[in-house]
Amino acid sequence: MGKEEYQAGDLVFVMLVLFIVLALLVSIPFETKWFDGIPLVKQPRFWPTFCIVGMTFFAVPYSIQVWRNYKFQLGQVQGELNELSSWLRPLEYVFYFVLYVWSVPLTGYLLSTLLFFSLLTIRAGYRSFLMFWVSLATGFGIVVVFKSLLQVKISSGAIYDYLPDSWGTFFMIYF
Amino acid sequence: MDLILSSLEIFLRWDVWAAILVGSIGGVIIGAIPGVGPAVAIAILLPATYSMDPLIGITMLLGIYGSAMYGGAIPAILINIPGTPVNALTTYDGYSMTKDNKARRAVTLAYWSSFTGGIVSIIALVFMTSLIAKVAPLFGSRDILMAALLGLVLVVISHRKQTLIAGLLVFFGMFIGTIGMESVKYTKRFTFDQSWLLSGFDLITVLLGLFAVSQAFILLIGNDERAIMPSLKGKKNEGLFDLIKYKTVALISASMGVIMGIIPGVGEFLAQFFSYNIAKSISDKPERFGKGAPEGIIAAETANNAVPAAAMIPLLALGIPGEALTAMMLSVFYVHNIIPGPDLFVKHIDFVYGLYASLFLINVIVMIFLLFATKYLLKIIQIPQRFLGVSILGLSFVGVYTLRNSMIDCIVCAVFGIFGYILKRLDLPIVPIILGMVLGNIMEVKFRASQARIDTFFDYINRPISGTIFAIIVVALMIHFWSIWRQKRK
Repeated sequence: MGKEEYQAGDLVFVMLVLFIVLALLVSIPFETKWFDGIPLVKQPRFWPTFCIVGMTFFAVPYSIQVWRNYKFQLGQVQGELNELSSWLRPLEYVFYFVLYVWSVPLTGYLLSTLLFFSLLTIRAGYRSFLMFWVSLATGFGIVVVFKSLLQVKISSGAIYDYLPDSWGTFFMIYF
Repeated sequence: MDLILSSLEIFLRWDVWAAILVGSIGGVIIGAIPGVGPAVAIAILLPATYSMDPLIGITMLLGIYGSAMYGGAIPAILINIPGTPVNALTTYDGYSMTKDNKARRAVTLAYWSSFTGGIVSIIALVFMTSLIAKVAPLFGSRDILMAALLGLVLVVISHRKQTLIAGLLVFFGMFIGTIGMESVKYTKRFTFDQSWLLSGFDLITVLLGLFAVSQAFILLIGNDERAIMPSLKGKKNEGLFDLIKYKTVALISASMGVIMGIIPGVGEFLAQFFSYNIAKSISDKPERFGKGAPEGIIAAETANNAVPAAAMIPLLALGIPGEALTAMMLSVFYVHNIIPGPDLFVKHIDFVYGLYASLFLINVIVMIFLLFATKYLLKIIQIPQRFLGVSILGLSFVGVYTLRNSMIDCIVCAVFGIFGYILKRLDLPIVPIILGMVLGNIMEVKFRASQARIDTFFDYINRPISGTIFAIIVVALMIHFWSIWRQKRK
């Protein structure tokens, strides 16, 4: 019913799951409301509690399963640490992503996207001029398809206010 | 007849054709690039389709869904890397045929098999949806509740060897669907006094995080692997002769794909698994399976391509999505106030016929495109993986930011991205979370709506439909536990 082989990181994951489930169970009375005189199943508290109890119902045997698998492979502490550090690696890209989101209302979708694509391409390890131009073309293509053609709702950049009126309006609408 | 003809009038519109072309050809390309897949593409495009005419939006997404598996067979056969996860079984016999210098034959066989699966399932969709739609008005709250429960139970037990974590993640999905302001007493649930949590988690934000952003992280952190493409020699219709020769396998596999597609929560993997095993059991030379048997490719590709249209049957007739991709499409219906279910066939029958015709055209266009453009697609397959990661991350921004232009949505999406990344690293399933979120929401609404007629538990199952669905749930669970017991005895 559970994974038959232990994989580095399973134990840490299970501990996190148990912690979250326990925290949710404890917070049920504080994070949901109970109205006197209303049957249990009609209470606003009922459905989230049902979900959390369901999570607990599966979390406990899953933890036992993982622990049993882990016991046969003791001495994997280094493997656990390596896996844990690999879970943190996306944080760097989350930072770039958030920076990109933050920059769009300031520098505009076009400029932010061109910078995001070109810099992230360099960060990803590509150093050739070809890849640099490909990244710029890809970024430009995405802006044209989504903003210029499909007109998706993306806030225009504050930087466009400094452009001459006609250019500013053009960039606000299309880029 | 007049209604059908008037429905076909939509094909005089250029935007319908554009959606069909973009969806079908785009889907093939997306499917052919290992590491992207239709779920990522649909999650990214979903918000953009909200501003489109519903038929255009749904057609485009269906095009991607239905044609990605055609494209996914190409790298599976030529370089032993499945383009989409459901093409994994195709590598067994497809790559073996490539090693025997039969690459063209294997690829065209996969195309024709996929085409057969696609067409058979569209025929099933046309007949079965209208049939179910006739029964569907009889569905009350309790019946829909049981149908959604059946979907969730099947999602859990279909994750063989991962049922515990699948169950946990289903309930986790249901839980995150409850966060925010509830709509009956207007009380806050698990908002932790955070105003941004009042409206809860948007399905698109969670979807994009779990599918697209997590995949971008996987690709960005992984290494580029350059594959050497074999040459494609031979005639374009080589595979067609194989398909005609093994037509029984094709029909059985297509039927299996249709059946598995209709059942919520089951999907392509089980359809292929059963088809492959049946094909092997009826073959004169079962020992060839896994070593280049054409029947192996037929079974895998016909079955997996029969699923998309079949998965639309419960969605259109009952409003219940059977898997993640139809769950995504459900949101497009809701945005345009087109509620799938029996009413759809009364109020929007022209839309339904338009959808059927679009699906048929998508398969025809993909087939023609692939027969002539495969050699160009081989170049696209070789896009460096980390650059794909950059592109997916950039595209994910469009998907999530266009919802509300909110920085918080983007951060939530990134957090779900990390969560999805961890799940993928640990080989744990993601789909149960999405289905838990969508079906859990349907269940809560129907559960509340049915309370007026409920005194005891038996009132949930004393209706013919809900009782039958409950019996199916019990039988499915019994079969599941029996198979575990039998496995342990071995």
